[in-house]
This record gives sequence, structure tokens and C-alpha cells, in this order.
Amino acid sequence: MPSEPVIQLKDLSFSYGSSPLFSGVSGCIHRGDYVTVIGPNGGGKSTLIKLITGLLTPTGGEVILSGDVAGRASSIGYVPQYVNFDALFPATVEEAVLTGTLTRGWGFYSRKDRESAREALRMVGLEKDGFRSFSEISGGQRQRTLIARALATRPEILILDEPTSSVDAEVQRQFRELLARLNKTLTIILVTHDFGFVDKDVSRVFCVNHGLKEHPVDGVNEDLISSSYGRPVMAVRHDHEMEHHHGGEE
Amino acid sequence: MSDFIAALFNPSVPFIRYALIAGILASASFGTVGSLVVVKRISYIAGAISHATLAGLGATVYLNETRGWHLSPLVGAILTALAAAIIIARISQGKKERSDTVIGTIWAVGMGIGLLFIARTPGYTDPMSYIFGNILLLRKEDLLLIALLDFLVLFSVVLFYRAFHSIAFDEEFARTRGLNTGFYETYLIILTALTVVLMVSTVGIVMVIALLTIPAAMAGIFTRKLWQMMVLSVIIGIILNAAGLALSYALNLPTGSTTIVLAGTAYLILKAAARRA
Repeated sequence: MPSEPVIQLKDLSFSYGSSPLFSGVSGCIHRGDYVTVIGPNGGGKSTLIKLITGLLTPTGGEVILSGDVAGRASSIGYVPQYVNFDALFPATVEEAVLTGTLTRGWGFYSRKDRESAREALRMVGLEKDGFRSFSEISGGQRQRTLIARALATRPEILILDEPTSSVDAEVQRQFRELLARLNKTLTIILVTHDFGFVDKDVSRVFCVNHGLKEHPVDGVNEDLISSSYGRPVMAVRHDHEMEHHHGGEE
Repeated sequence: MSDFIAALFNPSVPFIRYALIAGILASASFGTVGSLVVVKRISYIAGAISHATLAGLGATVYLNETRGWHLSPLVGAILTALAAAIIIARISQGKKERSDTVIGTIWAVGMGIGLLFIARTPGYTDPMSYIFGNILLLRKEDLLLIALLDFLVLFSVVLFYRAFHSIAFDEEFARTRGLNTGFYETYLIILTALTVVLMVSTVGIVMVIALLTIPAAMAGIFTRKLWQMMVLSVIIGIILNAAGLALSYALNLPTGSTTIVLAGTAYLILKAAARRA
């Protein structure tokens, strides 16, 4: 018996100019799901995430978040790729997380905002690093900081867009453990090229390639991925603690 | 140095005093807005706005001479800067135009219009004074205008600090939080335009951009928070303005050029020292 739907995609279409990216996409994500979204570059993964977060407006259909329409809801905590950040930006880890508590542009951060930020830092294991400069910390710590920022929004759904694209295998392992822990209280949607994330903790796998197709978690293999991507995909095996497949369209 | 201090209190050369007061007042806006311009990497926008203000400066000079108006050229500069800021903000946020082309066009056309107005102004008006600055252009009533703009800019930065900090750090995330980022981006460009105008008389439209970015860049070497960068940038700005004015007085050199060369040299020395450390 599935739990309550938190995201519903209803006949969703999107075009960049006159080029349609996908059309008629429908689907439903339920409370407590841990969804991994895979797919080739240019297939529409990031676009789908931006439609869900309200950063883009669909050209057709709609996204319904826990009964609200995307863009007006505040139930999503969004974690972008950290590689897009300015390494010289003057902000401490705590300041970066505080921006997650923002609900209006004017005024000052309240004591409650600061408590939320510290609580979020505790949840990702960075409670002692709040004073450090965001530009000085490691890639893994930056990633955790951005997750903490998303958690400071007190979300129901955590959406992560390729968060592990430039960190090493050990950081990825810690990251998978963190997400599994957070999934106990949050719905998680993870966009990734790393099939290592399709593990025992994941409840659903979506492949986005000019459309959306769900695959069984235990059935994700090289052949199925190649057929979804429309071309051969070579999976490689990592030699770190948890054996898994890692691949990409490259 | 004692000559400079004596000149500050000499009633027959009030422009030295005006230039110092204008420099100190403007440093507050330059430090705060300059820090945002540096971290958002929009100094090319500030450059376009400052150059475009020549259109307003030239038009005011022309109208004063031909129509008998008595407007401060700063008023013309403010109006042009605001118009340029709004156009640039709209173009930058839209996807239909190449924003760098439009920004470059505003930069050059603004200067062209200003030079045409100055060429058509009866009598002789030296455009170099506006392009490279001249402290003799500064009037007593301009100080009040500078103080008012300064207050407006500082009040806005303090009030919207969270929003500016947030969109400078990650504009996309701020949008997912429901922040009207388009409004704040536009407002920041307008504040940049108002700030640029504050010192356009003293250092001119070409070099004012350096005064906006150099103190902030110097402050950025020593600070790890945006508000700290702003405060230190204000202090550095005051020191550079006062030192530039004193040096130009002592060596009988143009104030704008002296201040900018001093600022640039200080920045390069600090940057080199920071790399060695």
C-alpha cells in the first residue's frame, strides 16, 4: 500500500524554444521514497528537477507538490552541484547554511534561524565546522554544507542534482550512508550518473531520456541502462568497500 | 602633509575640503556595494553604467548653458545611470538578447551622446574633466546630494543584506526559496549606478570603476565573511581617498589619477604579499 503522494507529474511537457525536450510525462513520488534518477546528458534530468523545484515552468501539464503547485511550495530542499560555486566567495559554512532559512529578503537572521542552521550542520556531521570558510573546506564537506543548507529549509523532500560528480570514492560512500539515514525522515530524489547509488537503500529508479521510465531497482544492469540510454553504456566496477557499478554515457 | 592639513582649513580653497568629505562619504557606499559587485563579478556592468553617465553629465551642461538651467551635472548623471541600470538589468535577466552586446552598446553610446552634448555646448567645456575627473567640479550642494544617496545606498544594503548575500552566493537556490531574485538583482544594479555617480566628479567616469572594485578586492584578501569584507573595504576606501587627495595636493597632480594609481599599487603589493604568505 503506497503512502501519500508528495510529487505528482501530470502530463508534463517542456520545450527549449521550438525544440521539445519531452512531452506527456506523468509519474508519482510517494512520501518516504528514495528515488534515483539516471539518464544521459541532454535527456532532461536536470530540466525535470528544475520543473519540480519551480525554477522552470512547464510548457504543458503540471507538477503538484503535496497538493500545491511547484514554485509556490516550500517543501523542497534543493542541493545543486557544488562545482558551480565561486571558490573565493566570502562566507563561512554556517552563513552558507543560514541562507537555507531565508523566507524573505529583508531583515536579519533570527535566533531560530541560527538554531535551524546549527541543527542542520549537526545532522550532516559538521557541527564543529560552522566557523570555517566555505572556500577552505574539502569537496566532501562542501557537499555536506549544501545538504545542511537544504535541510535548514525544513523540507519534506530532498532533491540532489548530481552531488557526487567530483568527489572521491570514500566521500561517495559516506554520502550514500548519509542519504540512507536522511531517508528515514525525508523523501529523497537523487540525480546521478553513478549507478553505485542504485543500491539496497534506493526504493525506485527513474531513467529520464526525453521521457520518463521506471526500472526495478534490482534489475538495473548494463544491458537495461544501455537500452534506456539508446546506446551502449560501459559500467565499471569500483574497488572500494561496497562493490557497485559505476557508469556514465561518456 | 602639514600643507595639506592647512589647505583643508583654508576657506579660499574649499574644494580640497569638499573632495575629502565627498571621498569619506562615498567610501561607505563604495565599500558596501563594491563588495557585492566584486563577489557577484558584475564590475563590467558598473563600468558600462559609469561610462554611460557622460550622456547625463553632457546633457545637463548643455541645458544649463543653452536654457539657463542651474542643475548640478550630478543630477543628469544620476538620471542616466538609473536609466542605464534598468535597461541593463532587464536585458541581463532576459534571454532574448546577448547581454554583453547590449551592455557594450550602452557603454559606448552613452559616452558618444555625452560628447555630442559637450561639443554643442556654447563656449568651451573640457570633456576631460568629466572623463578623468576634476575636484574643481565638486560644488558644496553636491555634498548634500552625495550624503543623501549614500544614506539611501547604505540603508538598502543593510536592509536587504540577506537577500544580496543569498543571491550572490547561489541565485538559483534563492529562487527555490521563493525569493524574487529578479527584483533584488535589479535593485543591486540600481544601487551600483547610484554609487558610481557619487564619485564621478572627483575621479571621472573612466576610473570610478577602480574605486568600486579595488578596496573590495583588497578587503577580500583578509576577510572570510561578506559583511567583514564590506566594513574593511569602507575603511580602505577612506584611507585611499584621503591619501590620494593628500598626495595629489603635495605633488600637484590630478586627484583622480593619483588616487587610482595609489589604490592599484596598494592592491598589487597586498596581493603579492598574500601569495608569499
